[in-house]
This record gives sequence, C-alpha cells and structure tokens, in this order.
Amino acid sequence: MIIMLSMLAVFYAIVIVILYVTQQTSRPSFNEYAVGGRSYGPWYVAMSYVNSWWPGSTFIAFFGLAAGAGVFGLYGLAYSTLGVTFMYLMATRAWRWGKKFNLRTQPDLLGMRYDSGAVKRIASVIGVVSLFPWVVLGMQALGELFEIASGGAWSVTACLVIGLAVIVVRQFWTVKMGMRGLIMTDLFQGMVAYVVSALVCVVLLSGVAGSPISLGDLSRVGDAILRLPGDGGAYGPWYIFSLIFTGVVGSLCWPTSFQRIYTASGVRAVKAGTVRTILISGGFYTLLMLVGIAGTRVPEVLADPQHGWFTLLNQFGGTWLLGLAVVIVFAASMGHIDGAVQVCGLQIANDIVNSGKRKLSDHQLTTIAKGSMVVFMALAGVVAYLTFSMDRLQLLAQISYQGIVQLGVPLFLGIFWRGGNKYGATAGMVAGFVVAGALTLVFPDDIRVLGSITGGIIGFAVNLLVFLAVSALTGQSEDERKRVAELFEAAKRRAPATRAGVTAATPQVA
Amino acid sequence: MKSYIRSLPSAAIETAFGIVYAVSLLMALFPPLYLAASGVRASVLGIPVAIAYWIADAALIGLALWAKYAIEDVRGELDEEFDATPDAPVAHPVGTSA
Repeated sequence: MIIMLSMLAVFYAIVIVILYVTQQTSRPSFNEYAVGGRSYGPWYVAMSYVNSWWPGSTFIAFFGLAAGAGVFGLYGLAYSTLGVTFMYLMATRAWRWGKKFNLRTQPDLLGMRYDSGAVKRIASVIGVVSLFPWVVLGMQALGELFEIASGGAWSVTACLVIGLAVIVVRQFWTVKMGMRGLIMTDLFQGMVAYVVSALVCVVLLSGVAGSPISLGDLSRVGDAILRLPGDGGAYGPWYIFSLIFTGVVGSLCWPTSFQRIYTASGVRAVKAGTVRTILISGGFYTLLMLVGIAGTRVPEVLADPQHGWFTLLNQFGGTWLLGLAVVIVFAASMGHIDGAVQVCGLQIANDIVNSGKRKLSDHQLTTIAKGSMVVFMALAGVVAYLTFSMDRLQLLAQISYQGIVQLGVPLFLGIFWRGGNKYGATAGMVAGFVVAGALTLVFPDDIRVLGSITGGIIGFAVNLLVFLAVSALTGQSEDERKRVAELFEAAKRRAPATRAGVTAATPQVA
Repeated sequence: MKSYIRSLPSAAIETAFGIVYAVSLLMALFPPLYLAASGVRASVLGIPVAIAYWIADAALIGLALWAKYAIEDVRGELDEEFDATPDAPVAHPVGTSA
C-alpha cells in the first residue's frame, strides 16, 4: 500500500511542480483562462486533445469491454480515428472564426454562426449535460484507484472523497492559471497515461519476462471473443453502426475537444496536432485493446474484466507494476476530469449566464466559472458514489453520446453550409435531444425491434429533419444571407507573401 | 515530386482523400462489411482477421490524413496571413439575439 500511494504522491507532486513553475505572475485575463491566448503548438494541442479524449475509465470500462467481450472493444478505435479526422476537416474554419471573432467556446461559434443567443445557450446546456457522465466515470475511476492503492483497506466513501479532494486541489491551480495550467500538465499527464501505457502494452504483448499474455494469445482466444454484437446473440446488426456513428458525430461536438482548436496558435498547429492525435490515440488504444483481448485467456481477468488492467500488471510485476498501472489511470483520469470541469465552468459562465443583455466583466466571468465548477464537481461526486457498483460503467458513456450527438447537425451544417437559420438550429437541437433522451430512458442501450439502433440515432434523424424543415419554412432574410456570406468570406485563407514559389500557386483557398 | 504535388488541382486531392475516408466510414458503419469480418479466425501477421479489420480501418484513415497534411504542407496551404486582431473586443460580427 505504501509503495503505491507513494508512487501516486510522486506523480501528483510533479504535476503540482509543473503548475507552480509555469504559472504566470500576473492574473490571467478571461481569454487566457479560456483558450490560453491561442498560442500553443501541435504537440501541446495533440496531448491536450488526447487527454480530453481518453479518460481514466478507458482502462476500466473500455478495457473491461475488450477483456470481457473481446473485439467489441475495438469500436472505440474506429470512432475515435474517424471522428478526429472529421475534426481535421472542420478545424480550419472553426479556428479562423475563433481567431477572427474572438470565440472562446463551441457554443460561442454556434451563437455567432446563427446569430442567436438561444442557439448558444441550448448548445451549451447540451454540452454540459452530456459531459456530466464522463466526469462521473472519471471520479469513479479515481475512487477505484484509491481502493486498489489502499489494498482495499479504505472504504468506498473514503476513496471517492480522497479522489474528489485530489481533483479539487488540482482545480485550484486550473482556476488560478486558466487554460495554460491544463495544457502544461496535459503534456506530462499524457506522456504517462498514453505513451508509457502503450510501452507497457508492447512489453506485455511481447510475452517476455514472464508476461501473463503474449501476441500469440490473440489467435487462441475463444470464438465468442472474436464476434461482434449483432453477429448472433441478442443484439441486432445496427448496434455497432449506432455506436460508431454516434461516436464519430459526437466527436465533433465534445466541448473539451473543440476547445483545443481554440488553444492552437494557427491552422497549421491545429492540423499537425490532429495528425499527432491520431498517432498517439490510435497507437495507444489499439495496444490497450490487444492486451485486453489477449487477457481473456487469463482466468482472473475473464472473471473480473473491469479490473483486468490491474490484474495483468500485478501478475506481471507485482506491487511496483500495479503501482504503475494505478499511476497511469490516475494521470488519464486527472487530465480528463480537469478538462471537462474547466470547460463546463467556462461554458456556464460564458454562454449561459453571460448574454448580450447581461454582459459580464472578466472578473465576474471568472468568479461564476469557479462557482459553477464547484457545483458541477459536487453533483458529479454524489452521482459517482450512488452508481459506483453499476455493472456496465461504459453504458453511461454511451448514453451521453446520445445527447452530445445532437449538436452535430447545427455544428456540421453551420460550418460547411450557408443554409439553415437559428429557428431550424434551435428546434432541431431541442427536438433531437428530447427524442434521444426519451428513447434512452425507455431503451438505455438499444432498440431491439429496430435492429439494435440507439435512441441517439433516431434523435439525430429527427434533429436533421426538423432543422431542414423549419429552416426551409422560415427562410433566410437578405440581411442574414449577406451576414453569413461575410462570415464564410472571413474564413478564407490568405496565403503569406513570405513563402515565395508556394503562394503563387495557391493565392486564395476557401 | 514537390512541384508535381503543387501542380495538382485541389479537387483531385480532395476527391482522393474523400474516397479513402468514405471507404473507412463504410468499413466501420456498413453492417454487411463489419459483420463479414466478425468471428473470422484466419490471421494476418498473427492477428485474427476479426481484430485486424478494425486496425486496418484505423490505419487506412490515419495514413490518409497524414498524407493529406504532408501534401497541404508542400502546397503551402497550412500557413497564412490572418486579418484579425488578437483578442479583439468584438465578439460577433453582428449582435446576437434569440
């Protein structure tokens, strides 16, 4: 117990030292707090992006999926790579508008595109509500970590409270430093959570030094492990489609991911960061899933898949490697929770409380953001405690996707298409979210009579239809058409004059 | 090679990337394709097809995106002059209203 807790303490101390050393002497403005002054390069963007993408529960819920159900776990690989690619395509215009119009959040962009405070507020509420389950999952992961690190000597309540306290202390620095604090520590946390864990997975799969698994185990796993839901069994053929579709569309919509676009120093940094994100994210997650699937050959892992990551490392290297497993999950959890809490506090202050009629000062925005974070964390802590023994944690994440995906219609169409209007966007989002929410309450996982399609897909279809129908019925005024045309004109690229021989070929590209 | 890349029309590059992206999306979203790979034990480099299928899908789009980035870099499409004042006080081009 002492060894593992010490390892956690050392890691945590390094994070705090990084925060202390990189803090600015002057109080950050709200723009610094929100987007770090739009000054970060591709590696910072990439690692911050990955931190916001893979929470600590990846090593528990998603690993448990691979170690319990096998190839099913790889759906996460498909949606993450395809989704991040979509972000690459969307990022150019999103970053340019962000820079041009000083946008701080994703709802800011939607509000600007549709010239509507209502669109902005609804998008913000959907984002905050949908992020909530992920923070809950992250806190549960932290509680679980302290349960493991304490050797089961501490109660569930004590473990969750300690986990919450750790995050609160960490959040103090985030609030003090703004986005800069997140970005600086994400680099270190990401190295530990995703790069070190990928190396550990490589060693495990190599089968050396008494590893309990090897790459060869992948060819010897049971038949059921290689089958997807929908290939026989209770699920229909559209289950995997639904999960991946909502994942891809949802990945455009997560406020945490979107926020990273605005922290970048330019379009090059966004795009280079996205390519690096796919490399880190795809490599890490593939290796983790291969370890999980090979782990199905280990009886102790198969008996308790959600603890499989810890079981394997304990079997491989005893307390020290178990301690490393705990530190890795701790790093991923902290990075993700911190980012989610920060962006939720920011959105509540910037998009919901702040408005055209009630303009808040920098100081007021920061104060409201801080208060929102505290309330948000307290609520998440209560829910985390109440659902701590839920069998299928990953289901919570799936449910949240049904909600966040509803931002995809106005966001995607608004960025790539000049049509649509605020009435269509508002009605579509509300209709989609209500339908998705109602269906998810009745069918939390899938709708069997429709081939295992999920409520989010139905909601998305309703959202799209309502958006198009209401926009067509209400139309665009001449002023609105002109305003939108100016927006798209403002996002056009102007090649720099300094790169002779290159710019001549591409003087202006939309 | 660089001059050839610079001479390519943008539409050709976008179409090529679009085709690869569409294939990746189909592999991930079209049930007859992914269910055909499900449960297949035959191996590729020691990994069953049921698993390799998803890795190949991710690798395909990852490599395509990397290639797109490299091409855009050669064509000078990643750097730009931007007509904006950092942290400009104007939040929106026009006022927002519900």
